Amino acid sequence: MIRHLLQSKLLSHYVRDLSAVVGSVILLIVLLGAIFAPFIAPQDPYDPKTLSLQDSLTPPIWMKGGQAPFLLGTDDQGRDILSTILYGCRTSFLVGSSVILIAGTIGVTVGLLAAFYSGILDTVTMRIADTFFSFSTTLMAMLLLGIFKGGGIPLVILAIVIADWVRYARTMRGSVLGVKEDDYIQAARACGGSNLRIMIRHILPNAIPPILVVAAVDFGAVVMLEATLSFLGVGVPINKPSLGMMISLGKNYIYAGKWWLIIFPGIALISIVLGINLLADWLREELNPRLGQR
Amino acid sequence: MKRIPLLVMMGILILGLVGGLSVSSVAKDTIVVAVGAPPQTMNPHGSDSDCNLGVVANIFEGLLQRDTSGTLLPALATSWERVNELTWQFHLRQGVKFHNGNDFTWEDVKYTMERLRIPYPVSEFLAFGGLIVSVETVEGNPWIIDIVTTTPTSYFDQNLHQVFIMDKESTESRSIGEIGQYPIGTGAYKFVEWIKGSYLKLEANEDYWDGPPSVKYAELRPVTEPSTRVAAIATGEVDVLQDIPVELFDTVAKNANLEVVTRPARRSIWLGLRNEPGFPTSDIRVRKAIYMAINEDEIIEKVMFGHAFPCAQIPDPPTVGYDASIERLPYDPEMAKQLLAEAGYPDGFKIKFTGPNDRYVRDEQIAQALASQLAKVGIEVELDTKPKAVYFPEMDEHGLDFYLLGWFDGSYDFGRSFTKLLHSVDAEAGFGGLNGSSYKSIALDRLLEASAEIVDPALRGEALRLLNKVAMQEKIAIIPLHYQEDSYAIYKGRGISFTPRSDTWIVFKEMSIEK
Repeated sequence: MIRHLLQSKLLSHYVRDLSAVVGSVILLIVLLGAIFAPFIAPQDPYDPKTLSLQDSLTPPIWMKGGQAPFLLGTDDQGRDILSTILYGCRTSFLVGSSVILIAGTIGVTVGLLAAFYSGILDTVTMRIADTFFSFSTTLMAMLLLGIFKGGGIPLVILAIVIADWVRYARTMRGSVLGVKEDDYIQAARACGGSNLRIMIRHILPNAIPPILVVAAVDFGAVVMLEATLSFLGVGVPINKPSLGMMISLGKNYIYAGKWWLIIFPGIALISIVLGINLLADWLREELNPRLGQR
Repeated sequence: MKRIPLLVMMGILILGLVGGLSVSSVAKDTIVVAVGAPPQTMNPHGSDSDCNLGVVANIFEGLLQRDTSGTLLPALATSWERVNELTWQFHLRQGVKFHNGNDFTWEDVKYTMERLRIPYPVSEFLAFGGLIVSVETVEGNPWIIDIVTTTPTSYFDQNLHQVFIMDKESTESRSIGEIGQYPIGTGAYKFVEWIKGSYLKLEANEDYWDGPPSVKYAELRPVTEPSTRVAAIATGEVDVLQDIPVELFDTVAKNANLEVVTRPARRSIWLGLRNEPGFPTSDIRVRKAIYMAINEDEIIEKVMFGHAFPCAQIPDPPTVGYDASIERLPYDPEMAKQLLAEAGYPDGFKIKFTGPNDRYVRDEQIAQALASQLAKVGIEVELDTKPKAVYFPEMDEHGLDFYLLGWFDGSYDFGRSFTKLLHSVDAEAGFGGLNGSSYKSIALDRLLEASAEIVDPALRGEALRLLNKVAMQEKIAIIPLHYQEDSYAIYKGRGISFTPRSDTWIVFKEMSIEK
């Protein structure tokens, strides 16, 4: 049945939805660039052996003073901007997808259990969730990174996960509460299905669509959050690539007329977030039964 | 009907604002200076960093003071001499009043010198305070005092411009928190208001012993963000800017509204290296190799944008112990590789570098450049740069392998510098307080101790030069990088006269506004 749906409506709607196509094309380009960065980037910008200060602050190739391998110019350590962006996008995607996966799994599990068993478990977990929710995600992540000290990408992921899982837990709980009393669940129960079986085989597949929408929107937010944290100097360490850090560095050079340090990473960041948001919009419309069939 | 009064009110408001603005720009009696680092406390002994001393110097005075070029001059003492090895005699200035109306007396001096010995948060001048045995009047004359030191301290007077005299009565009667917030001194400016991290407002002391200063109101505004700092002076929001960010220097220099003044800074930037046996860097060949693998000219040109000068030692030329004959090891990566191979590291090694990222000009960028240059001879540098608030406490534990520090000696004495920076660590004796890697050389320690016993200044200078030379050339005790450049931008057309000081202090009584 799902296969049928995919073939007929989802796909044909996708093709007809221009913004979804544009969004996914943008995303695909950036994603491919990030995945194949080691092969297509002219330089490994975080291998100190390959850097030379002599190349620092070279303008983009079409400007006066621009030179061969540095298509979009270099930064103040002689790092090729294009290469750094490609590697930086890798960090963005890595952090984005890891957070979605980990926070999503935790959130879905917690939400499912809370809604299914309700009672004291529900009350306790949801009050904890409320507490987490009342803090801004950025503030929470900064706080955690401050406590852990030091950087490292795994730590950034962990901090964002801790700040972010609530979003999934709450959505999942609401969604499960909606399907929990449906007739087919009652039927499964009457057939003698165990709680675990009912949760996994019957409730989960029917309660998951809203989570997909949340995940899609959240991916953009997480990419942005990682960039924000790195911009503020509490995220990814300085010897690891990050779009946020590039922008933070570039802002020091705006008045000096070295615009390429900030504009290009800015465009890359916007592309990722825009692409994923366009896709998420489409997904939301498709999966929202209230919007009906067009 | 209701609209009209509103319009009238708005009109009055706008006129008032415009009028207020034009009035303030006509009769200008305030100088606003933007600085890079905010003062931490108004307790004049609470911090020995130059960005703090250079600010409280407007409110407080020492027995002595320095002019813009660094010459020692009388202040609260009218004259002074070293009467014997251990005793310094001062004639005190009469008729000076603190801002609260109390008279300045010898008891205040005695109280101040004793206060230096009380640890954090009262004083960061513990080592200097520990030198003082007694402060007594001479033959009952309250305007002549003798200060006796524990050991012969030839630089004793050289430090007195930054030991600020406090009012005994109001200091004893107030809590340390209040002292740190509401300062009472004898200086040319009275304290008005301090919003930590935002601004410090001062007002001319009309009863100042040297006559009231020329500028009526003074304001100091810390702006840490480089581009915001440039924006502040470009829009004329501030009159004088200290520390033009080097990456924006050309932009500022090209601005027709701004005048740029530079001078070689006293501060040198250098690298400390652990020499404890077992570490690769305990081998002199490895130390030389690291030195020779660093292309300082490239760092100055590309990281400092030309606004620095290569250095071969820690002290700057006016410091006692500076030796002009010391030269940098040449940049020679091939030789560096060879030295590493001889020392048993043909494939290099891994080393952790710790440094600040918000203290010195381009400190983090220097660290990254070093990592890239050392990688080319096979040394893999793991970078750990952090805010100064985290870095300096870590340094106090003396456990760093490889670190960056900037230094200039406020008392112009390499003996004092060495004691703090490179003498083997002895917390009780106050040695090696800033020795970040527990560097230890018995030979150098002995040389320093020998120099301390010499009373004749010329001979002692000779001994300190020798110590400096041996430390730099034989031992490679540290790897020097460069002297920074002090830079200032002044907004033109406001008649502001400003001369930068060698110690980078912002002293408002030296400034004036032409009417």
